[in-house]
Amino acid sequence: MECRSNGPTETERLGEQLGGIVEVGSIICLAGPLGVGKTTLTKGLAAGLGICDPLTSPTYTIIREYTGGRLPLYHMDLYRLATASECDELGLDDYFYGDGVCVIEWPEKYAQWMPDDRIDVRIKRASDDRRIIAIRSIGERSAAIVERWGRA
Amino acid sequence: MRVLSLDTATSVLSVALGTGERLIGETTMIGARDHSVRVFPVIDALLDAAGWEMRSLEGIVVGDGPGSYTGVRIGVTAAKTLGYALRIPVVGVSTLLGMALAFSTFPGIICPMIDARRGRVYTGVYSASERIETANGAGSDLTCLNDEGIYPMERVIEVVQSLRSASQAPVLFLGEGVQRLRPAIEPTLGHCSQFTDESHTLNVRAGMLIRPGIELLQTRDSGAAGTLVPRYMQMVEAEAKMIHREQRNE
Repeated sequence: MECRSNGPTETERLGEQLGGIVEVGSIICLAGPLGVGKTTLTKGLAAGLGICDPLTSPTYTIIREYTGGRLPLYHMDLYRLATASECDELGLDDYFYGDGVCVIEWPEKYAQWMPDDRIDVRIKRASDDRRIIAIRSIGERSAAIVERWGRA
Repeated sequence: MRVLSLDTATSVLSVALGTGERLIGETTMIGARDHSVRVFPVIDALLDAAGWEMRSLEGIVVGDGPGSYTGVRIGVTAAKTLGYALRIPVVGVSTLLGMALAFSTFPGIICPMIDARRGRVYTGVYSASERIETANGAGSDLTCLNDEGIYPMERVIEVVQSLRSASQAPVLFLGEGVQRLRPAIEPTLGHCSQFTDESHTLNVRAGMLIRPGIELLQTRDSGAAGTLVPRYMQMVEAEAKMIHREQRNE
């Protein structure tokens, strides 16, 4: 599935729609270059989950946890991690197979350990503000979510 | 010897107090994500209920895994912190051994399992090595027949079968996920296999760690809080890289 966004507001709205659909254990891998709108999409997703806390980039903390919404949101940014063994030490599986929703920025840093059932989202720059958002589901549960997202 | 034991490696949080002679008390509860918040209040409440001063403790035993990364770290960190603060020794005992010890009188092979996710489990295969008769009754000492490790779920039955060899020994499977394994095991082992009731069994009990823990505390000259490390038992990076390479070559 491919979406187009004409700016940050639209990207955020797409995220908000997804936030209304995701389930316990949903994994969203967000790929795309710096500044393309990954955190913007996640902000929308947090709002869609009913999370009121302001969302900030987890680049330096690696993982941020948001509770207080319909489901906990675990927002991760693996950009700063150099090796897969550094990822091992974070115990990411506890989050992946936990009680909330995971959004993972820079998933390619730990590609071989991304769960089998997940939604891969890749944001590409089309022009200054416009974006092309490619969405691919892997596994049955994610397929059902992406299908509902497409209809939203 | 007054000992505190704790285990937070799995979804169960368990804390116990005991001496060389007996188990005094135990608090065991299930609840996955807040072990770090609960562990110290639970320790406090149990000490209070037993009428023990924190400062009267002489050793700490911790279930050092395997289990969830976060869970194992919480338990080991809590134990080491107390050990440093109270200047008393800290020893680690396998969480799997603790699970098996709760059923140590089972006449056969005991196979405790902890979900390692991605279709894998941590397991070790135990059987009674000798019966211990004490003034207060009998118990069994358990021997681990293989190396505790991480196995794909479908391989557990092979491992158990190879260790059981030709014997007709019954096998008890316990832990998270045993009911999922049941359809795969029952056709092979039939009535020789038994399974715990997942919803009515708290599989990890810190009280079971006290006896092996006290043995370690008494026989080892180590036990310095600084030397204890968690046993994560995950795949090492080299293996992960190998899988990565294989995936790229496909």
